[in-house]
Parts: sequence; C-alpha cells; structure tokens
Amino acid sequence: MATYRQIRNDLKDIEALADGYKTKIDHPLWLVDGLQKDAIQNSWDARINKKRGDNWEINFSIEALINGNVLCIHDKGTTGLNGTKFTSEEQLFEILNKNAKGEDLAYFLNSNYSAKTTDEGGRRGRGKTLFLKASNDNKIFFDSLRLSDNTYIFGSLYIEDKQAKFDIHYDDDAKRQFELFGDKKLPFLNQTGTRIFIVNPDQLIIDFVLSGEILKFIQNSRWEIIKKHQAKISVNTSNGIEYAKCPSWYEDNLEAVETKSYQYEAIKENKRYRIKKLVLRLATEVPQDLKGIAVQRSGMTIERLQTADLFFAEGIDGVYGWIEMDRYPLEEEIINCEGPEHVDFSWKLKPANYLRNYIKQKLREFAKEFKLTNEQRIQNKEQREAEQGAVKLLAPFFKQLGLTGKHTGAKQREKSLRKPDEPYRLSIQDIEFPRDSRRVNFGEKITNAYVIPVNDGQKSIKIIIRYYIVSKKNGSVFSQEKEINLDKGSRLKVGLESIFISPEKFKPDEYSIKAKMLSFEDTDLLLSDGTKIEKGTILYERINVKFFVEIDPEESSKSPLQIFPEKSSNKKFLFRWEPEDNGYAVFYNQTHPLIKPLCEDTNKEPLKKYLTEQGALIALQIKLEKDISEKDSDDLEFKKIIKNGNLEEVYRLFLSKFSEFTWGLNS
Amino acid sequence: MVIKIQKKIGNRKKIQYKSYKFILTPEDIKKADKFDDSLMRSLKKLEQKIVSQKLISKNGKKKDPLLVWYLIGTQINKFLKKNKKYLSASDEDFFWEYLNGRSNILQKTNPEGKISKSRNDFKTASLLAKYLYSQLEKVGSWGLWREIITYRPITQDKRLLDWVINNLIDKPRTRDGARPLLKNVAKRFKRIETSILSDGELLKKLRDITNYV
Repeated sequence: MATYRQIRNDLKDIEALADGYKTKIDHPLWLVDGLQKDAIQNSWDARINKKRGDNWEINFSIEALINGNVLCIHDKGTTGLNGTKFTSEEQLFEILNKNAKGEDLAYFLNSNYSAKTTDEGGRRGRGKTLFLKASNDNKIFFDSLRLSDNTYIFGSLYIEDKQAKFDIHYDDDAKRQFELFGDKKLPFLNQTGTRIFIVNPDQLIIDFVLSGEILKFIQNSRWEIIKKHQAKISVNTSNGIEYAKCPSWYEDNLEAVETKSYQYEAIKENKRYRIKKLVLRLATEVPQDLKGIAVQRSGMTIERLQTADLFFAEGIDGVYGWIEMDRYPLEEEIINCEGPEHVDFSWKLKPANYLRNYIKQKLREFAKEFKLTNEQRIQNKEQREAEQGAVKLLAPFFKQLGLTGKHTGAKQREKSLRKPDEPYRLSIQDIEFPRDSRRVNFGEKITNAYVIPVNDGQKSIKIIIRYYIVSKKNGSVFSQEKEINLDKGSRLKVGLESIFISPEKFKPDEYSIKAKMLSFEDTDLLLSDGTKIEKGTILYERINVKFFVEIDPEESSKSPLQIFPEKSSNKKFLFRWEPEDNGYAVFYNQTHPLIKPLCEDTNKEPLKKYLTEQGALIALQIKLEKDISEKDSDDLEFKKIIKNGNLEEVYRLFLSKFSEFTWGLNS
Repeated sequence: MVIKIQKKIGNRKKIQYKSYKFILTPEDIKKADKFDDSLMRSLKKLEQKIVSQKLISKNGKKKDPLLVWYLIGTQINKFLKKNKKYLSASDEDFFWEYLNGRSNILQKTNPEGKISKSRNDFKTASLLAKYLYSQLEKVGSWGLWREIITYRPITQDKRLLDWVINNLIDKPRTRDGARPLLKNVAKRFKRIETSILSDGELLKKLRDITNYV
C-alpha cells in the first residue's frame, strides 16, 4: 500500500490564520497592528545582546521598486537567519524534525515551526505567515547577513497553486538575485541582520507607514523595551525618519497622577508565582487605547485588562497601569495560557487566573485607598448594609478560626489597655442608632443621645458640661452648655434625648457627638495625675461618637472579612473568596437564582442571614484549606482530620461547628 | 472640596488629591486643579512683589523674614476671604499642608516630612497678618514668633496671645530668652479651658506665672 503526504491548501491556512488575528485584535487596522507586533517580536527575539538589546534596531519603510511598492522591515543588531545551509527538501525535512535550536533559516521558511524558548515571544512560527497575508500578491522576499558564518542569503516565500513555496540562494548567487530584485537601487546589507520585503503591500499598510500612524501601535505594545532599553524602532514616513517613543503615560514620576507600585509579590498563597512589578495609576483622562492594566511579557504588551471589567467603581476607568512578571516560574508557565496571536490570555487557565485575581485584589485595594467607591454600593445601600451586617456577625468567627492577618501564620496580638475610669467622667452608653453601621438616613432618629456625668470622687463638684455635634465638613451644628452641681451617685442627663435626622438640619456627611466636662470652681481636689482641679480644668473630654448621615462609614481596614457582590452567568459560581491583606474577601453571585430574589427583596434581613450562614461555612472551608497547606492546625478536631486524612469526617465537623455558630447567633 | 497637594520626595514631585470626601470623582479633581491654579496665581503675584522689592537676596535668603512672612500671611488671608466658600472646615488642614513646598521663593527649603499644624509657617503667617506689623516688630524676630505659635494653649485663646505679646513688648527677649515664659504659660493652661474664665480670672492665673519668670 502506498503512503501519500496530505496536500494542504496553504492559501486557506493563511486566511484562517489571518481570521484569527482579525477576531482577536478586533479593530479595523488589525493587519497593521498584527504585522508590526509579529515583525518586531521576531526581530527582538533575534537580538544579539539578549540582556539589554544593545545596538538592536528595526526600521519600517516603503520602497518603490520597478515592479511596484514593497514594505521593507529591516533589523540590525540581530543574529540573521542562522542555521544549516540546506540544499534539498530531504535535508530540510531532517532539520525540522530534529527541532534543534539555531536553525532559524529553516524555521523561518516553514509554517508552524519554531524552536524559541519561553522567554522569547513567538514560539509558534505563525508571524511570517502574516507577512504573506499583508502582501496582495502573497509574496515576500528576504535577505540576511548571518552572525554565525557571515553568509549572505537571499530568497523569497510565496503562494503558488495554493501551496506555500520558497526559493533560497546563498553567497554570490544570493547577491546576484538580490540585485535583480532590487533594481540595483537597494544597498547590500553591511551588518548582521535581516530584511523582509513584503511585495505589493495592502494599501492600508502603505498609508500607515508613510503617515507614521503605525508608530502608535508600536508604541502601545513596545513601550516597555523603549523605556527600559531605549530600543530603536523607526519608520520612514513622508516627513522623514520618526522613532517610536514611550507614551508619556508610562513614564516614571508623572505629575497629576497617583501611582502605587508593588514589587516581587507572590500572586497566590503557597505558590511560587511572583510578579516583578505591578504599577497602578489614577489619572483623569487616559487615552482610550492605553486604558486598562497592560499585561507585559518579554517586553511586549500582550493584553490590556480593562479595569471596569475587574472592579465596579466610580472613576475606576481612570485607573491604568501595567504588570510585569517574574520569569520563573510565572512568565514561563503563563505562556501556555497565551493565545497564538500574542494578544490575549485564557484567563480561566492557571496561572493566568491567579494573576487576574491578584490584579483584581490590588485594584480593589487601590480603589479603596483612593476613594473610588463601588457604584453598586451606592445604588444598593440596603444591600450593602446587609453585607456589612453579615460581616459584623462573621468577623468574630473568622477571628476565632485565626483567619486574619497577612496569612503568614499565627500572630501575637498586642492587648490594648483601656484607660482606668476617671473619677469625674461622662458616659454615653445608652445611645442607639437605627443600624449597627451608624449610618442614619433622612427621616430616622438617634435615640438616647444624651451624656450622663458621673462623680466617683470624694465630694460634690460644680461643673460645666459642653455638649455639641460637629460636622466633618462644616464644623459645629449644635451645641449646648449646662452648669451642674454634680453630687456623688447622681444620674442626670445632659444633651439630646433624640436626634431627628432631617435634610433641613443635616447634610450627608460624617458627624460626631462630642462632650466635655469642665470644673466650674476652684477646689482642693486633685486629678489622678496630680493636677489641681480649678475653674476651667478639663475633667473629661473623651466623648466622641460618630454617625453618618446618608453615607456609609468607611470600612475598617482591620476587619478580617469583606463581602462583595458580583454578577456572573457562571452556574458554578455561588460564592468565591480571595485572601486579602488583612483577611479575606468573599464574593457572592447576585445573579444566581438563589441569591437574586434576596437581593431584590426590599427586606434585606434574609440576605444578611443567608450571607452570614454561607459565610460561616466558607470560613470553615478556608480554615481547612489553610491548615491542610500548613499540615497542622491549632484546632484539635481539624488537626485530627488532617492527621488521619478522614475526609468523611469533614462535613460532620463543619456541621457541628456551623451549628455552634448559628446557635450563638440565634440565642 | 478636594485639595491638590504636591510633595517633593528627593528630586521627584508627587501629586496627591486629598479630601475627607468619601468619593473622589474626576469632577472633584478638576475643581481641585482650578482652585490650585487660582492660588498659584496669587502666590506668583506675591513672589513678584517680594522679588521686585528686593526682600530676598540672590541666594534665596529672606532679608527680613518677619516682613516677608507678614506679606505672605496678608496675601493668604486675602485669598482665603475670597475663596472661603470653597474650603470646608475639614479641608483646612489640607490647605495648610498644600502650601508647603509650592514656592521656592517663599520657602527656600521645603519640609520633607509631615509638618504639624502648629509648625506650619503659612498658618503662622496667616495668624500674624491679623496683627499690625509694627506690633509684631516690637515683639521680636520671625524666629521668636515661630516659637510663640508652637505653643498650642497660647494660640487657642486670643487673650493669652495678646498678653504674651504685651509682655514681650514690655520686656523684649530673644527666642531663647522668651522660652521659659512661653513654656510656663503653656504648661499652666494645658488642662484648662480658658473660655469659661473671665478676663479677671485669666489675668490672675497669668500673674502667678510672671511671679516666677
């Protein structure tokens, strides 16, 4: 039986590949953008000085030859197309099957072959196919002066009868062929490097090169090597040679831009994946094409993650930045998640999903620091209150399980020492707010807002009590002063029985109820620090009770838990959680049919209850995961499970702990 | 109101938008920039005045620091009077912080760390500009004035500050010479709310101090 080699329609393959770029790059100029990206990537990977790219440069120009225009992509400071000077198809077949390094020439001339390492950009050998697509004649010429043996080569790659074919010439023969091609107008190469000539290029490409507009694409994707290595990338435009510059948005020390950078941080607990650098910036008007977090690999922007897709917040659109990865193992492994066109990642695959979650976490911290408040929270203040209510109930449980801090093991907490009671003091213990968060809306009231002066001293004393309410923005809004003869054991009330919050008297703001106790007579009495009590002596001034009119209080950064809503059509997502600097962030899917009605219900108590109960189970799961990774536990029952590996005991343990927790809540 | 603050860290300039507001919107940032532009214009005008009157030497040293700071204080008070509506009570601290490091002419060396309110030269200048320059001059140098203003209990009651001023006019002292008096006044009134004392009661307590100093 005879064996045949499959005949492929290479033209169709080129179209299919081009379609891939078109879909991924997703703008009308995809061909220009894709072409510059692949051409520069191939050239940068072939640079002689791998560390800094010294003497490397690349130029784009349109050359008018006798048979029409060609786009010339010329690089210098590169190795040229090294490798075996093959003379037959058999020899070529052997080289390609060996998959050896240093056979650049053979790989360049054949599709889907490449022997690049992970720290190089294109490993799939697809870039050159795009060169053919860029030519209306599906034809390119190339010449190269090689570093390895100083050989000059010239050849062409083209489509004929739907098959990709190529010619190759070496040394003097190559020079003769080149002269014929270049009408003796083009000079020979005088230093190592390669030139690609795209015959009869797409008119859009000609226009973008001559106008210099191609530089914008180059700058947006290559800014890192321009910034760090002063990489020379130039274009011969109608106005002369223009060089690509680093967009000012990526320069250091920008004015009017808030910057926060993180270096060499692990992106996932108990994993070795680290970033090299993450820079987040807040600016007012970021250009559309630079919006988002640029995910960099090998000096190239692969994708810009749009901040609005990562976190809902007012003003989040003004946050941009970039992330660079540590080469081993993160950059080395993430390349397996990268699309073949080098313009996106599959964010569901590991470690790309770790990286995305890390960026999300940092973005959330950044938004919090720079007061970019979650839009959804503004829209659904009742929902937010339910979340906060659940956090308050769950926080002690998280603390009890040791799920706090920086996830670096048990921490010794410093005990805070309460000041001993002063003999003359004020108490505001009866005060009641409509909700635990101390948010008070219009139409609601704060009750028992008075202070009670206490005399634990030896004698009665004449005092003055100053009671006032202060707005953070506008200063004092209410004040009262009362003179009292304070006897031992008296329980007088000074101040307001209730504060009715009306829009006429209060504006949305943070307020404080403050009170001071002053002596109104000269006495022989002494305070605990030895100060003589005389007229005017401040006896007590530690009353400072905050409340928030029509706004939410800022979250305490010390809470071990935060709860956030998310919207997702993923049926498997009910809850998810991430470690945070100070504890954990738990996300619930508010589009899940189980949760949606709770969010839509005007009574938010059921939502609070549900979040609390599920949060408790999540806490137990986090505890178990944490203890398993540490192979030990401070809880005897968890310890037993981890030691014996009795998985059947897990649910039983969870249920008993859950029962204890909910018993406490409901009793 | 949001205040735009510039800090110099080494050779770098760092810009922050500070506010007690919960939500910082791009609109707020625009307003802060506008406020900043207006104040910068005001400071530039003052710089020109100081330079044209040759109140600053070639190396940037103030020839008569008290006079220069008095002019600065007067200009700031003028600006604040006009723009008070934009500045809430809570933003005021940011405003004083904001002024630090904004002009190399007005302030030759920029403080690098955080400066407490009582040590903010611009705030001190604003306070002094409420007095007659001739009166300030009689008390003593800018250095002495900075020392006086550092003591919080003294600045909290105008009667106390006036008493200190009169005392120092009567018995002129250097900065070091005035320190025991200032320390004693501050210590005496540290735990006293002077606002409930009558002028007589206050004076009686002050006399006790002068008996010792």
